[in-house]
Amino acid sequence: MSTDTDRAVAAGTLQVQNLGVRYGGVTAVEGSSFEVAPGECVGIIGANGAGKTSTLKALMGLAPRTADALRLGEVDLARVKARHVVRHGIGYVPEGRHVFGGLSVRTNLELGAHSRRWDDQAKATLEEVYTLFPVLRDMRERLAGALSGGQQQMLAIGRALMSRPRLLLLDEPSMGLSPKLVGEVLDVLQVLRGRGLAMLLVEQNAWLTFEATERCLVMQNGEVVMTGRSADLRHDPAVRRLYLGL
Amino acid sequence: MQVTLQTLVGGLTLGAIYALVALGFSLVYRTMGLVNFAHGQVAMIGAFTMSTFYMTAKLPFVLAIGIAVVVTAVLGLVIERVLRPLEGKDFDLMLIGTIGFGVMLEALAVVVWGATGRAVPSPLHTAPLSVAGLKIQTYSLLVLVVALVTTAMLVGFLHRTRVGAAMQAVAMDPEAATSVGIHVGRSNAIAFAIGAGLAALAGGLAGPMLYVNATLGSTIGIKGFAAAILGGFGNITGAIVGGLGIGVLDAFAAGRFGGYSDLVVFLLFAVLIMVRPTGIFGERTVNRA
Amino acid sequence: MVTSRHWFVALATGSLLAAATACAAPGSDSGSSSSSGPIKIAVVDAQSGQLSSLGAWELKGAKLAVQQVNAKGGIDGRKVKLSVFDDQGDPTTGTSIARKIVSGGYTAMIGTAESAVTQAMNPILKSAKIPSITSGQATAITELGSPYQFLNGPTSATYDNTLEEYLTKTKSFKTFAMITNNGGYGVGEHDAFTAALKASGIEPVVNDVVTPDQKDFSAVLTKIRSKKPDVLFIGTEEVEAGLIAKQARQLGLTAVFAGSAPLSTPVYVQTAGADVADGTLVSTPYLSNDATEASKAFAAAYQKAFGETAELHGAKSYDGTSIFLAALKQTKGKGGLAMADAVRAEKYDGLLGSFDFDDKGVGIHQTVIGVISGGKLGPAS
Repeated sequence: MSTDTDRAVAAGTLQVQNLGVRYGGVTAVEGSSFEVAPGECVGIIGANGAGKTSTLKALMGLAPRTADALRLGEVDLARVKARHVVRHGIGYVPEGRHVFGGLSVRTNLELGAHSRRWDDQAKATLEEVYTLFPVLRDMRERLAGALSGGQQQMLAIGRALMSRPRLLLLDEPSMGLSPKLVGEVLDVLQVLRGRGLAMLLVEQNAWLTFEATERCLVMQNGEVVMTGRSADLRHDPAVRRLYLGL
Repeated sequence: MQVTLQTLVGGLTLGAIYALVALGFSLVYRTMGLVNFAHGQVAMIGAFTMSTFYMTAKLPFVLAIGIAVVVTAVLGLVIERVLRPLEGKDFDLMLIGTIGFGVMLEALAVVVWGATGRAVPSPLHTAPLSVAGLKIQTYSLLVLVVALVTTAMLVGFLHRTRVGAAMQAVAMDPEAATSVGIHVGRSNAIAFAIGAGLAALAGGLAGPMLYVNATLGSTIGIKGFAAAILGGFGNITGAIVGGLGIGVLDAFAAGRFGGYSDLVVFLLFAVLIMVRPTGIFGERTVNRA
Repeated sequence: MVTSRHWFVALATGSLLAAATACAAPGSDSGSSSSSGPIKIAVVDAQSGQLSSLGAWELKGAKLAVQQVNAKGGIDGRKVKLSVFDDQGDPTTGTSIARKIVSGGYTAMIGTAESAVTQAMNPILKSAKIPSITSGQATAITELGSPYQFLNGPTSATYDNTLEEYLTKTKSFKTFAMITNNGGYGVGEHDAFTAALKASGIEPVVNDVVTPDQKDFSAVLTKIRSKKPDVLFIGTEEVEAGLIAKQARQLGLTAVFAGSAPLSTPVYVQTAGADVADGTLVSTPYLSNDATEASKAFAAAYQKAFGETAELHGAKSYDGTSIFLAALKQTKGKGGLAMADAVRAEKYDGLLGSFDFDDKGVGIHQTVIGVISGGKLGPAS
């Protein structure tokens, strides 16, 4: 096993073809196909229940899925166990943050690097995360559960970054945050984008999504009903209708 | 005054055993979100195993306990493997499963070791310490020291090692734990094994103090369980405080209330829990899927 | 599709059933006792739990007696068949077993070794006219007023009167402390020994009650130590007695230990530790396997059949079973009142002495005093 996972992970394209997610008798996602190229930032927007979260969970192996193809570069993700997905360079920031509330901020971050050896590179990554999120450095010995919503969101992102991912999956990072904090999240995403990190951003907040991404998918009732460049979709009347009921 | 102090000594000694039992209960709950009702019976198996190696194979006491702990930890791994398909699924079924296992273990113990049980001689032959008229058995001190050292080691394991932190994370959020690469099944197995090892340690140490038979499990299991609840289920410090507390409570109630001591302890316990349901140190709540 | 849930319920049910059968009673045949086919006798005792050693010994004694009778052709040409029931030392379980015995066509019952369970089962067996012989010794058993209830040994009163007399007259002990538990046996001991002391004008300096499950006796023993009594009377079952004795010596209490049947057992000696148990004075009708030719023969047969040394409870049960079998010979296999009367009519020479049953069901009216020395029970001076 290579010590530097960066080299082992193919900086590959995420290819999803005909993804389906079914929980018992309920179909959450059907016939969904899309790609995320290395370094590309793609958004998924849609109303509640559109299947956005299920899509991300399916990629992480946390939801029962079927697909014609599910690949990251050369790697067939369909055969990868959920706990091994992170080793292939995919980081996950779940909806609702899901930080480990009873553990300290520092331990949360250290656990983010669980799939790697805790070596100098890991320590350096921790430093990077602290630099990116100074508040986490200040609060590093506090219990994660004692942090505010915005701080927990930073922690969740930081934790995902600890595994040095090439692709970051984010599920509604703006949820429950004030406009100011949403702005801070956007700043962080821009920085990460600038470093060449690919992102798949699921959001209800259309504005944030259009700002942070190049392309967007629009999902409705489990299906991808529209795709396009974010700049274009921003002004698209069909999108506005879907969103604002106009 | 002398009666009070001597009772305190007696209560703390037995309390150390309850504390070790409570420690195992709390660990498994804290890391797996499971209340293992077979825990007392596992302690009983540990006691019997120790007695076989100590008395039949004539190994030194420490070695006999060590082997018992390892054997029982392996038993814990087996139990966890058998129950694994249900983890994260139906919680109530898992509880019934552990109760069933406990009953089976008790029946198994009777088959293997007989219904009569056995008395285990104390490994220490030094005279008791005499301090201001109080008699303190050296074996009691040994048990207390072992309990404290074990707690320190457990705390160190949970808070300072990767495996320990991962185990706690699994209890708090199995999905998030999986997404950072933690092997939930293996983490649970290790937790269960450590819990079983702790039970065996408690049972093995209790052997020379009490009497080893198939019902030893229910006796110290119930008290250990109560201790864990009293201290705050899932809380490590709480397990120790609860265990020592129950031991002392028991000893004083026996002195004051004679035949009604069980009733008094139960009532007191019920009142304490009603006043503070999450236990002295508050319950470490666990999110189960 | 067999889901994990199905599999799991199967496993849980399977384990519970397996465990239940491990200590369940055998199935009962319906119908009343017949006059042909084997004579069915039930043996009821604790086969599990803390009192299970008693049950194990009782069963062996009964088995040996039945084996010997069957080897000689049985009773009136019919073999005697024993069925074992586990009452778990619990009176409620005992009553449900009593009902099984009544509906199962059993002629008689050997058991139980626990006074409380015997008392619980008595009314059911009495109305079904099924004779039973118990090794329980609580005086309360003699007051149940059933012509079908017998005891295979002396009552607590006998044990304790003999003991008290020895302690006060022969040994001239003056001050006494008592620890008894609040189970059936313990209550009987408490009442009997307190009464015996009172008859001599003695009041115990401490007379404390503990629960049968208690494990730590620091409080009561320290209290007793401060009063420095000559004798500590222990009225509990063997494991608890052993723990009390052990902890007493650990706390520096030097009083002599005294009690009845449970303190004569190897379990007491091992739990207390041989050096602690030495010097314990025991009131018992069965001093040792070497006391008489009959007991030597019994012990040899017991050793051969079970690979174990015989002791008091096995001897009592052997006597009780033999007496019942002799009575059944008299009645040609018939149970009921005829059998009970036959028991009262004969004078049987047993291992415990000469049995002469009165109308209260007591057959042995005296005990001897033994002392534990070198871990073994022998006659006291």
